[in-house]
Amino acid sequence: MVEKQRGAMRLAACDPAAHALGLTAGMALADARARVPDLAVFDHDPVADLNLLGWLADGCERYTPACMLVPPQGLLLDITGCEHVFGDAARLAKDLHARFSRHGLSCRIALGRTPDSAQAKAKYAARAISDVPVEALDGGDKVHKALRRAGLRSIGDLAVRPRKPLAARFGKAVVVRLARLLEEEDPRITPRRSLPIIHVAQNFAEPISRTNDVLATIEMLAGNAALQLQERGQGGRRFEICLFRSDGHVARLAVDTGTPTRDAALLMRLIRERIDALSDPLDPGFGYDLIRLEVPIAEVLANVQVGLETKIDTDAAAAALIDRLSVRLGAERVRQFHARQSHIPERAALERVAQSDVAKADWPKADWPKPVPGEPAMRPFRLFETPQPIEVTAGFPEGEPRSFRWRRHVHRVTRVEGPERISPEWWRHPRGYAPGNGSLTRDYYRVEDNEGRRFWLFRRGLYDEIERPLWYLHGIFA
Amino acid sequence: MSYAELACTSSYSFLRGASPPSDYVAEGIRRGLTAIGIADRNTVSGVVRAWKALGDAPDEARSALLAAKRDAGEPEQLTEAEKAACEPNIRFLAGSRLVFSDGTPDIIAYPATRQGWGNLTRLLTVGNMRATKGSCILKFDDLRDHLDDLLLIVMPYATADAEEAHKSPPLYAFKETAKPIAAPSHLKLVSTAPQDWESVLRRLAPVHVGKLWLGVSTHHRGKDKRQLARYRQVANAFDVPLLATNDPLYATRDQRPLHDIITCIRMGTTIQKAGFALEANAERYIKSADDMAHLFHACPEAVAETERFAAHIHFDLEQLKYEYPHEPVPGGWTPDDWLAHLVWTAAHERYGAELPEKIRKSIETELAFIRTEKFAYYFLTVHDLVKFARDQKPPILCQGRGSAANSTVCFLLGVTSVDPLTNTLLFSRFISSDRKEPPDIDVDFEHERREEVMQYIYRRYGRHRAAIAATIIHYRPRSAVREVGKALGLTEDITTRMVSTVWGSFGSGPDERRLVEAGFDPDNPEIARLKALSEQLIKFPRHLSQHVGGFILTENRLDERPQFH
Repeated sequence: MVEKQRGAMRLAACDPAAHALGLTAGMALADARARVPDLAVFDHDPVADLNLLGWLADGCERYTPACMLVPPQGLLLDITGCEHVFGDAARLAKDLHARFSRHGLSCRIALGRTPDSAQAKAKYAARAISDVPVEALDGGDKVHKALRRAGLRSIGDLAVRPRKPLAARFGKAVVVRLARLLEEEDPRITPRRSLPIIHVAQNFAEPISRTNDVLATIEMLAGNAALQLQERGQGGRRFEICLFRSDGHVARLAVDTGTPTRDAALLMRLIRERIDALSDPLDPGFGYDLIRLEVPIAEVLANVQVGLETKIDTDAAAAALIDRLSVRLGAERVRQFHARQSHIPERAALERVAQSDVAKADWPKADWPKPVPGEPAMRPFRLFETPQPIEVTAGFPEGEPRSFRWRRHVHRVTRVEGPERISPEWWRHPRGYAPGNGSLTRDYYRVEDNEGRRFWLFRRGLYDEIERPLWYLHGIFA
Repeated sequence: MSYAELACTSSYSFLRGASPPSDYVAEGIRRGLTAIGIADRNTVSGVVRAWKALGDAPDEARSALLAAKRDAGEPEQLTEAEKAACEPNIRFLAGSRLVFSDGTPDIIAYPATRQGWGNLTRLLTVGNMRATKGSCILKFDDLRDHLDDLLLIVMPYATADAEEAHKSPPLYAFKETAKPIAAPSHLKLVSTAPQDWESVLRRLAPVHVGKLWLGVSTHHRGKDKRQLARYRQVANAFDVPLLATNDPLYATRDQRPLHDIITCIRMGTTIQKAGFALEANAERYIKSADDMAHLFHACPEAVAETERFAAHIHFDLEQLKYEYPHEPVPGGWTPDDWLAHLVWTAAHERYGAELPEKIRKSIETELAFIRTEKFAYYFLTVHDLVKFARDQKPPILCQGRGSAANSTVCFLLGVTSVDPLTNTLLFSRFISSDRKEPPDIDVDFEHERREEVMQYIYRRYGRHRAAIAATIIHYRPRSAVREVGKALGLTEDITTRMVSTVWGSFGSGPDERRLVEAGFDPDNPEIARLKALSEQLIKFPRHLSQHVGGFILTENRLDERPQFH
């Protein structure tokens, strides 16, 4: 592999055969070609390497959700608490090694109590930390040379020495790193994916590939997760299913809910919807050998006592419907109207993504206005998004409309109620507080024409605000 | 067509009215109303300002006219016709809006006579005594006990907030002999309060014949005609006339933004989140007779009724003359004679039988002056207090200070300690006939024992005739800027920075130069808006507080003048 390094084309990596011929990384390409004329050379593609590393990490997630990339060639897996699936850590390492070999990758695996010690052991192919050379301290060439001159060649040599003089001579950083390597300090790794709150998994000795089996497994996992959620008094907002194929591919499905839930049946319905909605159907390949269900986001959900006569909880049913539609159509496409406290008619309702968290909204919520029995409605059934301009004959000034023309049809007004005067929201314009600077006051009239149709008109602007106010039709009572 | 606006809510309805009472009076004059009535929520504290504003109006109009003539280059003289034009043709009526805590709709009460005023203030006192400082808890039954000589306008809605009651009401057990209540006995059987205006009319109409009205307004809310028809129908059933009012919350339409801001301050929210708490339109201002006639064209008698209402009222604040308590003057003496006796006796005691010429002359001048201006009571009351303090064992330290030290009479009464023999005293510094005010005699009492003095006053005059004067705390520039900034939704760091530009607590508002110094751009519309609205809020009343040591003593029941808290 070659890449441009320090102005010249150099070798970035060599395979074992090349090593055998005496080529090393960092050597100039010209020199390499001189030694081995028929050298096979490929461009170094760091991005592809990183992607491959990521893909490998995905596969490693079958062992533990806490994986970290150590580019260019390393992976750190925190298997605390996960080894029991395989019996012990050594067997897990063997399984991992076997898996990598199947993909044609050679790897060095090392176990350690802390990330640093494991990494050092793997890098230098040592069995014990005491065998690791001092270069693992990452102190710089000068420090390494000085250590070697002092006769300290491995970490084992350093371990028995008192620390203070080392710190004085070589710096504090070296001593800190030494402590880490000797498993005295244990910094946590930062996993690629945030750790889920709950995860339940099912292994298969024989990989399964039939959809029914997969769904049955997921159902069982959902039941387990629901139990765990119940114990914690929580409900999940997001559920992720990871399907690990035996050849290393990982497929992921995610389902979001608007309100926290731990209802396994509801979850299954949503998952089925999700699977149906996939653009490419699930391809099990040679079969899945591990299926895992994770709950990354959970919220408090109190236990609700079921009543003696179970009624349908309309709020919960509506939320469930919204979740199903959102899974099928996409969360952004399912929207809901909320009432808002505003006197301006077109601002009195707010359209929002249905699944969004309404409880935390920062606009003043309102109840939908209730009609007074025996009186005509104050607001039209249908409100136009843009008020339509009309020509009106009305008394001057501020008289009621007597007739109006809309879409080339003249309507004679027989009954009127109004005006309903709505002043502009002056605070939405910076200079609106001063007289004459705000927008115009509207006078709304509910009119009925000679054919019995009812309309909602308004005059935009009072006669002392604007010289020639215009009239508009804002809605119809139909 | 003439019209009187009777339901004005001024800034003395704390954080509900957006105009000071003087603005209402000025607007009423400008619109040519026949009368203007200020009726604040459970208080009469605003009426004095309005009354004064009306009294000052002719002078102000005259000076404005003279200034205009000067600018126009005309001779600075007013003709008789012009002088007459400066005299306002409007009456001022003092009343209060009774807001009840038991669900009863608001009722606006105007006293028809001096007795009625006493009833109103006593009613408000009953409500104040029940609540913590500054609040008032009124029940419908309280009104029933104080109905005499009150003209009532029932409003078809209630505006009460939750009020806080005293945990243990203060000692105010002064009871008069029970006055016979002219209410028929069936009223006593009903114990629940009326929850809507129809019930109020049903209860009060038979009892309060001829003095009950239903106040109706049209604010262009879309159902005006329908509602008016309903009001008329129900009121007719009870024989109660309709009274047209615009129920103003501010004097001119331009003050609607300020009203929205004070609503936000009252509710503790920002203007963006206030929602339906704000009025939908800006119609609640003082309208002219023509406008009201147009609004009530379906019901013109409601507009005419306002003038009839005003004609029923014979009470004016002039009638509230101060009456001094009699205690400091022993029986058989007149105040002036008793004062003279005390003064001459003290003078002879101090200077001997032959008084120095200087002393004699000053005593004679001062006593003559006091006699003409009728100020004897002031001196006697103060002397009485000082004597009590000095008679205690051990004596309570007290001393007069300030301009009172310029008076020989004060010295001889033992109030001050500046000897006129050795010093030159300027009596005119103390009081003169130019200033129409009574003398201001400040006496400092030993701080730790001031309670004893206060208890003495209460014992001597009774709790119903002595009270500590209340002052109303107004918005200062700092608090105004802070509150308006919060209401506009500005973050705390901006409001604190703005507040720091205000110089001291008595400045008149954020100065433009200081704004620039603090890093604000005065052209920035947000800053300009904050500045403009804060300037309007400055000088608005904020809440009640206790005056530092000022007592009011009266002859008759004190709560028949102002209200108690």
